[in-house]
Amino acid sequence: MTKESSGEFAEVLRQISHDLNNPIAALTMDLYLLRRAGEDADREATIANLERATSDLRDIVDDLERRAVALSSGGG
Amino acid sequence: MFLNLLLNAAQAIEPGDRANQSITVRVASRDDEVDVSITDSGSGIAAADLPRLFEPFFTTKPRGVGSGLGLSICQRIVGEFGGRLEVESTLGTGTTMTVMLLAEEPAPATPLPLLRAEPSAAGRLMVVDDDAAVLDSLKRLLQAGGHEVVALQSGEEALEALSEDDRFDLILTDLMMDGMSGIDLYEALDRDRPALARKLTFVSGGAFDQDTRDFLARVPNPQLSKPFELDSLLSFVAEQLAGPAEPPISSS
Ligand SMILES: Nc1ncnc2c1ncn2[C@@H]1O[C@H](COP(=O)(O)OP(=O)(O)OP(=O)(O)O)[C@@H](O)[C@H]1O
Ligand SMILES: [Mg+2]
Repeated sequence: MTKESSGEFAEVLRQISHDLNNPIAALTMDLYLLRRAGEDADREATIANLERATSDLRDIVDDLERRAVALSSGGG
Repeated sequence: MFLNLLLNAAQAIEPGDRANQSITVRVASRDDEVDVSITDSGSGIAAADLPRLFEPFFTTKPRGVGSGLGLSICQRIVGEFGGRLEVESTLGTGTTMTVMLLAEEPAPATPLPLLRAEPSAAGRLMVVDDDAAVLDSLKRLLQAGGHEVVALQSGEEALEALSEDDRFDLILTDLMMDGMSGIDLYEALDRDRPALARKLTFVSGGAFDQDTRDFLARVPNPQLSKPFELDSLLSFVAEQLAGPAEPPISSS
């Protein structure tokens, strides 16, 4: 990896970790709500949001995989 | 943390033989546990190395490539959330690292803040985040803590709403948002309504660029990072509402 591309790489990694943190934060909060708030929490809404965050996570990883494939097959 | 595991997986794969290589991420959720596993078709790990894998500074990578800190840090982070990090590997075939979150959380030592929220500690909060899932979780979490919550999905909407109604005790805003960022929101408020700008707390997924770091160093506002340490989020809100800045009404 050249010096220039490692700067870009750092930027990409920064973006990825930021993007991953969002669904992980949502998962963490929802799990906490399910476990601790018990009857007080709106279970259905919490579970629906858990599913949304999980699918966001899956989309990010799918996107990463597509980029990895494009990088490794696209000349480089 | 996940990035660390993905990087390890990518580094375990020798460049070249593309057709036969893969990194697979699986997310499985059960009642009160979420498992995220990352499987690679890389070199695998020698049985002799397995016991030392999570030790700080244990690395098989050349100097400059690996510091050997990745997995020890991952394990600590997962541990802090009451989860586990497990490894399964066959030399020459590949490796699966599994993060199990909140599988077995020890009984909390302190009273549950969600259930014991004192009515006097309730406040009126605004939450701004462009990630719908985070916004929704934050809203319900804070509501369960007894607070009144107005949730908005952009800096622009927040600014607009504040121009009509500014009776908030605290405004939690994401830093990195498309359009008007948390920094833009701060600056817009600071210009016209500095008292409101002081009510902002910045919430972010970390990994700041230099400008953001400079900004955060310059302003006095508190910061919280995502994913949240939830007890500390709720106690942070309680502390802010208790208002160290405003002295309690003294008895005459
Ligand atoms: N997916 C994997 N496949 C094969 N070996 C792995 C994998 N993940 C980790 N290892 C082994 O475990 C060692 C320790 O990993 P760890 O992430 O702690 O450090 P590192 O990757 O060497 O350095 P750093 O993460 O600091 O860049 C690695 O050097 C490697 O030998
Ligand atoms: Mg590593």
